Amino acid sequence: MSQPALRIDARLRARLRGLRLETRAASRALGIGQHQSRSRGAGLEFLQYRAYEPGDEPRRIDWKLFARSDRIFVREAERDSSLRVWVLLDASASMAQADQATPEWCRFDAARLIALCAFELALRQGDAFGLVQVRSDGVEFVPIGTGSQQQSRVTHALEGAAAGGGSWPAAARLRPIWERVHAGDLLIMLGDHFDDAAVALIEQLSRAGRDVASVVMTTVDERDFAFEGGWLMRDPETGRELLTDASSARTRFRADFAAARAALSRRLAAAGIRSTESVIDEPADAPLRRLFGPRAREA
Amino acid sequence: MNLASPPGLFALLALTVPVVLHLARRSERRLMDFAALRWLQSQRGARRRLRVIEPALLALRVLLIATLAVLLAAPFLAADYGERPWVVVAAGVSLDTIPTADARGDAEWHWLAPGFPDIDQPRPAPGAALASQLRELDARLPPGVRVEVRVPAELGGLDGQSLVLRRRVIWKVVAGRSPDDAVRKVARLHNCALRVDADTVHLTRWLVAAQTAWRAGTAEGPRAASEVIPTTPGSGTTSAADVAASSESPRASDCLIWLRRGALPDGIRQWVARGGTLLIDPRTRLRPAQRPHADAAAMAVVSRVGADEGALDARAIQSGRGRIVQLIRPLDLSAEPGPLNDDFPSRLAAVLSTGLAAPERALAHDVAPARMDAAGRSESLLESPSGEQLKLDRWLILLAAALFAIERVYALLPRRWQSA
Repeated sequence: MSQPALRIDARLRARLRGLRLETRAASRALGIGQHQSRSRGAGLEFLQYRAYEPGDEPRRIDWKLFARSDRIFVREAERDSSLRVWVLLDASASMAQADQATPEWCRFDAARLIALCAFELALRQGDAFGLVQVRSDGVEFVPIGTGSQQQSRVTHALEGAAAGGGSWPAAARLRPIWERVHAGDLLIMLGDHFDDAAVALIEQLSRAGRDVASVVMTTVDERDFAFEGGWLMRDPETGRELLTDASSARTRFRADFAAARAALSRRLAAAGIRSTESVIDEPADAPLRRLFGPRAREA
Repeated sequence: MNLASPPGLFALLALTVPVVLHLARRSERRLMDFAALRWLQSQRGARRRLRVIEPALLALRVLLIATLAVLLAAPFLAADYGERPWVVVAAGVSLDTIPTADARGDAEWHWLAPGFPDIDQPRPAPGAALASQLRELDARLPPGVRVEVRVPAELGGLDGQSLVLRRRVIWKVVAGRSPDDAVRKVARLHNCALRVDADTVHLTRWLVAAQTAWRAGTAEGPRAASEVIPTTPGSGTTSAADVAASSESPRASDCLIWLRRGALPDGIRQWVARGGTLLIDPRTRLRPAQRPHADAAAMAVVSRVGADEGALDARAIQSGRGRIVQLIRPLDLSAEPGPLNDDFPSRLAAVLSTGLAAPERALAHDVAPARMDAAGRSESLLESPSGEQLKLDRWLILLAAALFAIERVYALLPRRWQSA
């Protein structure tokens, strides 16, 4: 990891307080995992012991185990971890796009930071989470898990991840996603959504019962196109080159790009996908707040 | 605003340098990865349009160079002349160059002559010195009046003092020459006495013949032979005299040709001081005070104007009211040119006129008046007029310095990222 910003600093952590990741189904119905269950006792199926973390309810501490091992463990029943949060990270070449003004902060870095925030929220909620990275050569998983150990795993995977290489892979390579991401899971897609194949994938996932939330990521240069002068532009995924005079191309590009983004959000909405546009210079909690915050829940 | 040296504006050609530098260059196609390329339209026509990089900086630089160019062209504000300008014309300028009354503009035209008569009057007789007339004009006219002086290329009527005036005049030189009437004629050479000795007695008949030739050229007819007094009696000359009389100063003439070895007698010297012209040859010894100075270059130059006398080269010296003209080489029959030449009389007359005329002729370009400013210093005006120019120079230098500072600051400010 070369850039220093892939950690949640205190300010970001403060802003994340109060955010909750939820599927839409869960927000409508009575949440099972987030409300205190009325059933007690042996009716709940034991799932696992996990180490105590600050924020856990003290009544869930297994005192017998504490007496035996002198370490505090929390009993976890199966129904507790009812939400499975997947973060789908687009690691194609287009994600390596950085702004000319801040070349050390690319779109992938912003996506990783948002992923880290989402995992932090899931951990706080006690939910299970996992990571999918889609590269040109295939997909890479951090399988679903809970707890801080899982957080270490995903953090390690994110730190070592890098964008680039090529474009969105063929559909055949994406099959493992269907196997891992079950119906009812919350899938947060973090990417630029330039590739039609990517959008098609999440549309299919949404139709197949996954709760997909998309963060459509845009760089500042793509939003403003503030270049001057003559440039030879190159598409990193296809390699196509284009000579352009920036100032004369600006208006047209901005109009076309905005139109494409509008069409995308209509398409995502039509597929039942919650989406928000995020420019990479905004703080990492902002898109999550727009997707999962109180106002989003009211909508 | 006038420009003292308009060729300085050629520095405006340097304006092309920043303009060219600020045009977007073909080679300026840097590579950039851009993921959203599919929404970027390729433009055909825009590439051909000339684009200026950073027009504000270009404007600053153009302004700076223009200021420097104007500074080089030395602008000045012409002084505010209240009265009508004067144009004075010296004698010798062709009348064709004088415009008619309706083509003269607002200037007053006058002759450069005593009283400064109007130009429409007949040309006045040439007389008094031109230089003193100019000084008088400079003193008479108010300081604010502009004066233009038209002089012929060969200018006479000058005196030994250089022309320094209190105002700036426009010195316009026209082809022509000052009339000869301004020049004193050569002294009358009719009665040239002759004193010879044994060495030069053979030249007597040639010298007498030359004088006959002079008289033949004048209105007077041949007169009695000149006074020729040889040293030795009985040598066949017209009037015999004894040896003692050979030292007599001439009685009836104001010109004496003394071709004798030995010291010049005092009597002769006094005769010269009373206003005579004496021609001596190199063998004659003069006392040190009388000797013509070898470095009397000014007189020598004037005496040689027009003719190269060759063997008759002479030096002249003023002695009291008269002149002593000393031949540089002894007069000889074999001299070239010498008494055997058929133009000997006129050459001899020219030699006798050596040093006669005071140097008062010069080329007009060389004697352009200088202007005396308040501190008494004079500066030649044929170059550029000064004075008012200084004021504008200072402002322009300040402006150029300010523009340079602004341009540097603006160029080095950190700006929004852009090309070039």
